[in-house]
Amino acid sequence: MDLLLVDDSKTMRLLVQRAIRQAGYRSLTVCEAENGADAIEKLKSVSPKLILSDWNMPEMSGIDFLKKIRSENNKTPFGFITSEASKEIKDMAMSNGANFLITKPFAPEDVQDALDPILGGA
Amino acid sequence: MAEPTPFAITQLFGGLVGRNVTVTQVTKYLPNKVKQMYGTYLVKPMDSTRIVQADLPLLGSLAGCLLGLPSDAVKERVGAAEIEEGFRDAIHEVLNIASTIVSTEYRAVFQKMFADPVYLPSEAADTFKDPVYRNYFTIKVDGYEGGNFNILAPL
Repeated sequence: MDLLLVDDSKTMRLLVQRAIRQAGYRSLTVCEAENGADAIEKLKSVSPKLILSDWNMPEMSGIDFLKKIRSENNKTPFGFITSEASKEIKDMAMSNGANFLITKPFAPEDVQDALDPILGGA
Repeated sequence: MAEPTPFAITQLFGGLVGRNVTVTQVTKYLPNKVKQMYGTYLVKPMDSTRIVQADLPLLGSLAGCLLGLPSDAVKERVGAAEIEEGFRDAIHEVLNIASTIVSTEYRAVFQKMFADPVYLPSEAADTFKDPVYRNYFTIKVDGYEGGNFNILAPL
């Protein structure tokens, strides 16, 4: 399993996967989770190469999810895909161990630019 | 309050749906006789509440574009007595992404979507009833139905 995709919106999970395919990653295997708590459960049984997460989600937000897994020494590359675009949010993401932040709405090129350094290109 | 601009809204929704979107700011709100949807936003750090009031056919068009639905299918879903779950989720996401234009100077966090203002929480209801700032826009989506998009804010 290559990617853990965490977003409470089914539509956004669909759009992200579409953008990933358009970015050339057609054979990427994806596991979906609806929020941070659900993702933590999923991580008990899968070891993704990359985690992509929304920021604002019910039950456990993206930043709380990131803090939790980093506190458990999970070093899986982590990126946010979020409508949160402020510098404050970007700084918070990076200082807590995120690798990148993509702002919604995004183009397949934005996804490709973020994924290539981590997954090594499609 | 810094005014949300038609340009910013055009960029946001045009980029979101990959179609030509035309946004015009109007001085007077002329309601269309269509269903409305309401999104509430918490603006940080003041914790004040702003509201988006938009025509359901417009939000449906943007959501339909996201899902790859043709215009006729969007109209069918918008006209249904109950909004189908997947379509509702896409409308919810449109309102979520709109948080970036609800406030141009502060961080706006999307809270919840409502189909009837009766159910707005008290602070949002106050903003809705007596907004200090009102920004009215009409939005056209190439090939799809457009509509009104209003941003209401307290002091």
